[in-house]
Amino acid sequence: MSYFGVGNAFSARALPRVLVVETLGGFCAGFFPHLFLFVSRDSMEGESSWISHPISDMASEVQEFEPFSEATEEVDGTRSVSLDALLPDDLLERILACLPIASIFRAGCVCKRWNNVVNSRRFLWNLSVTQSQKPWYFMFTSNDAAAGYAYDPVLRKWYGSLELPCIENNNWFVSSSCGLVCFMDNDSRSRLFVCNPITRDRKRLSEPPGGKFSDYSALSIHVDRATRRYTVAVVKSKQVPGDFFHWDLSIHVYDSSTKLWVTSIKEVLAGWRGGDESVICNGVLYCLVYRTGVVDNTDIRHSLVMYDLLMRSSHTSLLRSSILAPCSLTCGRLMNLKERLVMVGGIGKQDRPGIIKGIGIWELDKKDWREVARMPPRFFQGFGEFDDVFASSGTDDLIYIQSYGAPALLIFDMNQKQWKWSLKSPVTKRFPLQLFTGFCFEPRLEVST
Amino acid sequence: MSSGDSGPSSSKQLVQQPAAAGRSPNQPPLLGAGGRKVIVLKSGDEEEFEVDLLDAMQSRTLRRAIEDGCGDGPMPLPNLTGPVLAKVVELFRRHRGDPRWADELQETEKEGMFKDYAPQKPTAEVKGFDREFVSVDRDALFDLLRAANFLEAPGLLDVTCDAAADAVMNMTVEEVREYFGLVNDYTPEEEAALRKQHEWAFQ
Repeated sequence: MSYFGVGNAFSARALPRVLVVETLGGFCAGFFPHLFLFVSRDSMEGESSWISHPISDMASEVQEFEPFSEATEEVDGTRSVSLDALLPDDLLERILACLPIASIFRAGCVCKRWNNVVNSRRFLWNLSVTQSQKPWYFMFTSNDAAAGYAYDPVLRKWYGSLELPCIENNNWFVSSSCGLVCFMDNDSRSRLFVCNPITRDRKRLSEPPGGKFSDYSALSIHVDRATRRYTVAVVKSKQVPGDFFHWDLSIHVYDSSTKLWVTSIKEVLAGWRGGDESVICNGVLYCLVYRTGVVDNTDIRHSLVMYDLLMRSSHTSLLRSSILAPCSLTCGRLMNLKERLVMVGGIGKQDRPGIIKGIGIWELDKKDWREVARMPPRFFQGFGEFDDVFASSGTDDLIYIQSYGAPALLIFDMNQKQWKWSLKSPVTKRFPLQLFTGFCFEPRLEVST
Repeated sequence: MSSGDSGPSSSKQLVQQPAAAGRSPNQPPLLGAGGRKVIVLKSGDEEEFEVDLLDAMQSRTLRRAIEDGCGDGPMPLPNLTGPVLAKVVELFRRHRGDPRWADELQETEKEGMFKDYAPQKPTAEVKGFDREFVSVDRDALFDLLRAANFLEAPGLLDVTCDAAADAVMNMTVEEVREYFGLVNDYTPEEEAALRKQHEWAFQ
């Protein structure tokens, strides 16, 4: 007697689970013939009936059995035909889930069965658990359109013609979190979109409250990895009319589950104004504010205000509980790296704060800034020391830093504490005042708006 | 008198057997060199392989069979050829103690079966072995993939699926079809539309 059947035994990996349930406590003679002499019609014909069910429910889903010989007749022929036919869906899924995103899109073009596999909910769900894509960087190629190249740091490859949905040019506000990117136009600051740049899935949000024309606006989005709900925050700052010292600051928060904006807080800042830099991290909205009025060279000009989005309150005034930046900064940027608040900025010279002597990375540790890294001189020189304007953007474990004056892109890995240049970007400088900017995002197939 | 019959050694044996109602207790598994428990796997072409029981547990399929008492005599695996089974057995041996299925074995371990089981991180040597293991041609890789799937062995599945993905990762759509022996069942229009959706991925 053969316990393990004859012929092809690889057609339905779901079956052993089914039969374990049926034959628990039984012995092997009753166990194995089932296992390999029958195959489920469902699993041979595609995943239509089991994609929407958790794996543990599959046992009850397989109802129809047919003799195995029918299946073998279909694949009777050359070896090259049987290669695919003998790969059950879940084995195929496992293989395809090991592929990078571009290869998955190509796999969807191979044949209809593969397309069904890579678009199935089960595949996407598994992908979200197993796949560890590093964040990509999108670099704009022109100042008046949203076209550009996307960089994959794992494959060290630039992808051209990745068209971003919604955004119309590179001066729009951009914020990203867990595969979603939020865009806001820079004219009316009332057109907001959330999209997945990889799947091109998109949604327009209603207009945030608080009046159209603020002097400064900051945009941030945060996706909850477990529930996939997202929060978008817009911080608006407007000078009090006729007053050089006081600025109105208001925080407006959108919740994807209620689809509503709520104005959370309004405060008048004395001697400080809001800006265009904010991020949501661990349930807290952080926002950089800037000293206004007569500023001494020795004054630190940046401070961090915090607003607890879960409590929907701040115990004292935003300004009173704010945390001063560790030194004079230029181009200070906030980012959420695995729910840790990180700030990147140019370190100003003592006597001339507008000229930077280096670029630093700090992490907020309770109420204190802890320096994580400083760009080594050999990299900093690559940026041009006089080019004191640069962009930075980060998520997950990576921080991208890019000089406005050149398409060079530097990457800092927070885990390995390593600096590395990207592969040379295909973007070229075409005129002296061309500015280079970009943003980073996680490439994810399974996150939708 | 009765207390003498159920001495420590016999009660230990009983614990090792799965609690299967209505089945008489089986013989204990074979003992290999050094007193380890071994089972015998028999390929479709009648080759026999002694496998450490601990190693065989890396396969859920084998584990279920052993727990159902099928591990006493040679266990026939007609759909695996000798060379494939030899490779698989070698991988199981090299992966002994791999933490990737430590959780799964823990339950069995509670019964004292694997008290000498010590999970350890895959060493550079194991990783080197894995690379070598899948440095084979396409047909051999598919044999290993199907063996992995049939045996439900997570480590073997990881190694072989990664290798298959590596092989096709940089292929064009046409090359993937060729590699897997697939027939394009799209109309030219359907395929063009699909490619257009994510043009950047086809450069």
